[in-house]
Amino acid sequence: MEYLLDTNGLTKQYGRHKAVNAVNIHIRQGDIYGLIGRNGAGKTTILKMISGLAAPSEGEFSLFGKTGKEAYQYMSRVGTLIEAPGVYPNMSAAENLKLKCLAMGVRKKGVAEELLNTVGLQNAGKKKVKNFSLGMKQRLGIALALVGDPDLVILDEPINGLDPQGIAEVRETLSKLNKEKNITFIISSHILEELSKIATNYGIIHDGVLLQEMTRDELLAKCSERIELKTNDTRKACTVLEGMGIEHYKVVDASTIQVFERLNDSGDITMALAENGVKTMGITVKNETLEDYYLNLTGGTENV
Amino acid sequence: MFNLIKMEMHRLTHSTVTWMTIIFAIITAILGIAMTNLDIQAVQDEPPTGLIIQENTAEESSGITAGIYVTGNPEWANGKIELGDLVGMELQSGLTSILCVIFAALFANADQKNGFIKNIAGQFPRRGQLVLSKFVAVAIHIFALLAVFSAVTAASGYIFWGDKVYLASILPLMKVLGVQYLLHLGLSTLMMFLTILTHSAAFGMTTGILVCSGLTAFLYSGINRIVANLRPSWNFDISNYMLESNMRLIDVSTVSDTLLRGVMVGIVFLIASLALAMITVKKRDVR
Repeated sequence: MEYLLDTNGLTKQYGRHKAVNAVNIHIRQGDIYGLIGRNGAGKTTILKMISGLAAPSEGEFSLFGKTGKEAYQYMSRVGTLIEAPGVYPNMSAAENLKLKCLAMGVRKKGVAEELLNTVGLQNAGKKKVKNFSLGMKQRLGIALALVGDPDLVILDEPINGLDPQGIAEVRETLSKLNKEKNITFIISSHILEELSKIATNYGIIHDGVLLQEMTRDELLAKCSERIELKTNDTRKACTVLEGMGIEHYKVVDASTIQVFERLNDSGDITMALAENGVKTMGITVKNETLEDYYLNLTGGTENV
Repeated sequence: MFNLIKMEMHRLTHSTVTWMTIIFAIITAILGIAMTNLDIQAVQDEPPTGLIIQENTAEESSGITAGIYVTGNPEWANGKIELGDLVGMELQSGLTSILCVIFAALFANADQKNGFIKNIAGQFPRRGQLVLSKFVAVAIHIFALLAVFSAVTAASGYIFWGDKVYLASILPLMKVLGVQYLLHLGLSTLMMFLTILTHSAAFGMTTGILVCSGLTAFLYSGINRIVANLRPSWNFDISNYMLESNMRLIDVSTVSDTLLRGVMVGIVFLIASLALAMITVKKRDVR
């Protein structure tokens, strides 16, 4: 089994509108997969389909190497928090967890307390959920998703409504669960900077279409500070750079080289190239943020 | 499935609406007996030709009767009061059926309204189980509600009238309670289906209350007239096949055919509503 979850042309159509259009995502065991997209891009619809809450109009997904009806048999190993946390307001956090434990057949004692500790709600006591802050409800939603020790947890905008400290705590919790229990996470968010701190893989979705999938390293390379060098002879330029002791560089295309070290030495690089008969067509220091990268990819700033 | 039933049973015992409807069933039973007692006293003081306590009743010249009312036996004024007769007549009032539809609508809609269903629906590929487990909880609650109502009615009867109350035979009372249970359950399942279909407890409750209030009598009258015009030889009355009208027919003196019809009507509505609710939940995306 190469992928824990992968989709094949997953499509959801409402009337004539395709909310999700032929999406193919690939998630390996142990990944923290960040699904990035604007509001209305189709993130929640994708997550609902792979959570078994909505039926795809076309396409299918494979879960734990199984497809079709067989895949649905493994849904008990998937925990979900889709949109706002679904909780009974007149019950306490522990009672809400108990309900899900009963439904899932979890009989181990102390599970609710353990999960409340995990998400930082150990002091919630008998307080009814209707009196919880948005952040507390969000944490309870995460705890509910963790009932039954799932292998895959799907979290739709889990840091919505959390204060900066809460966001950091949730981030730490998810990282810890990922490392200690090898839980695979799919996290959707439009808060790109936060997602970049935790995700190991990314899928960028726009207007229901998956534009790009990449690893954390690939994204950081695209967004990191670098010298972008355009020359008339890339091969010779590489020799010159290596002669200067520069090793961390990447040839992007026939005329472009990205240099990721000695960012303050652009003058020296130009001089060295000139001395070796390589014409510099352009040299700039670029520092693209994740958000810039996302905006360039999706083509605008509206609703971000 | 068994796990889901356990969850719904836990929710049942921890829901406000469960205990509110039980409390209202107790209050309704006591008030029903108190009102009957007032009527008995009125008859004893000034004997009329019949005994009827009527609230919110609209009587049309066409013979259609709508509203919620508690009837009594004129013989109670000067004779003994048979317990089966008393409980049966109190159940005919439709007050318990109103409590049942309110409960069914609120209980069935709670997990959709607060979104808890999203936490579990994905884990159960055979989603019809979610409805079936709810139905089990509703069935148990209605049983408890009718049992409490009947017990409080009987106890109130003994408190108000003492030795005048007697139980002739347990069997006719059990028959009445059994048929009424099926009819109440059929009605509650129908309202559960409507609530699931519309995602609205308000719709389910309003429809249920209007049905229990007998306002459908106008509709049935219209249908009967249309059928009579089309097939004059056919002695058809649609109310014979409806839940709430059968509820009003069942008491200890009801003949076996009517009891059997009540059982059949209850079962048919129950199975049809349950099947439709299961199909709805299975086919539709979870919101």
